[in-house]
Amino acid sequence: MNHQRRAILQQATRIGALAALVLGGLWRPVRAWATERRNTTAFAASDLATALAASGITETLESTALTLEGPDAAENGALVSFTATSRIPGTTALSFFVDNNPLPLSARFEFAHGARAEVSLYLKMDKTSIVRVIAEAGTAFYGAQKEVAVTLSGCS
Amino acid sequence: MTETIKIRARMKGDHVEIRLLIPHPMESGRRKDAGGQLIPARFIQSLTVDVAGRRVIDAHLSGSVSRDPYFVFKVDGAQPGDAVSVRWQDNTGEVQENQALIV
Repeated sequence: MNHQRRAILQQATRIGALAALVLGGLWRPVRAWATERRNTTAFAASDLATALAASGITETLESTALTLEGPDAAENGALVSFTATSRIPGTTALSFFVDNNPLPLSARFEFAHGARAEVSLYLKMDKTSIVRVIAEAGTAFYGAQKEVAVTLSGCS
Repeated sequence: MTETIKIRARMKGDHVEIRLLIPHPMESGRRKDAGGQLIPARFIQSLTVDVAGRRVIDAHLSGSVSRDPYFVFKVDGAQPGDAVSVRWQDNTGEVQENQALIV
């Protein structure tokens, strides 16, 4: 084997290895998306910062077009009513986080085919906490929040 | 679980309002029973809503959603008579589905 041929083979091996890495990197999330779309890391996060980071949320913008309605105070933390509405064009998902819950990420909703980016639901609250909704629109994240005073824990 | 998903889907002007009431204990796995033993986790992890065969809502839930979850969604472009199909799966693998027509 001459030097030139060996160099070409080595180069080819390097390119092959790189391609495998790139493909591996690209393929893994695609497969994960198809078979298990739940973001288990974010749902298992025990603090808000980790839950947000695992959700890919680095920076949130404010917008009057995103609202979170809820009570100022809840006697029973087992049943606290919220309505989140996003009129931000292109909103595809809304995620709810209860900052002081043992697992802050509570729910994530994706909207398609005419569904409005709006949902009403009841959440459990362990104690007094900020509750926040994060809207995803394109590559941007928007946040709205509300503090709710809780008398009786809804998690124990 | 013998109780099934309750679906109310009514036209409200230009959109359909879909209300769901889902009988489910939504145990987070952190609660203790009277004897001090942890009650095993049993909560809905995924919930989907289809209108006329198109996926309009794709949701992932935690044990922080209240017992017997209640949701309200609004969907544009639907017609009376369209089928609304709801399906959930919980962390134990149990699955339940139900369907209703928009009125």
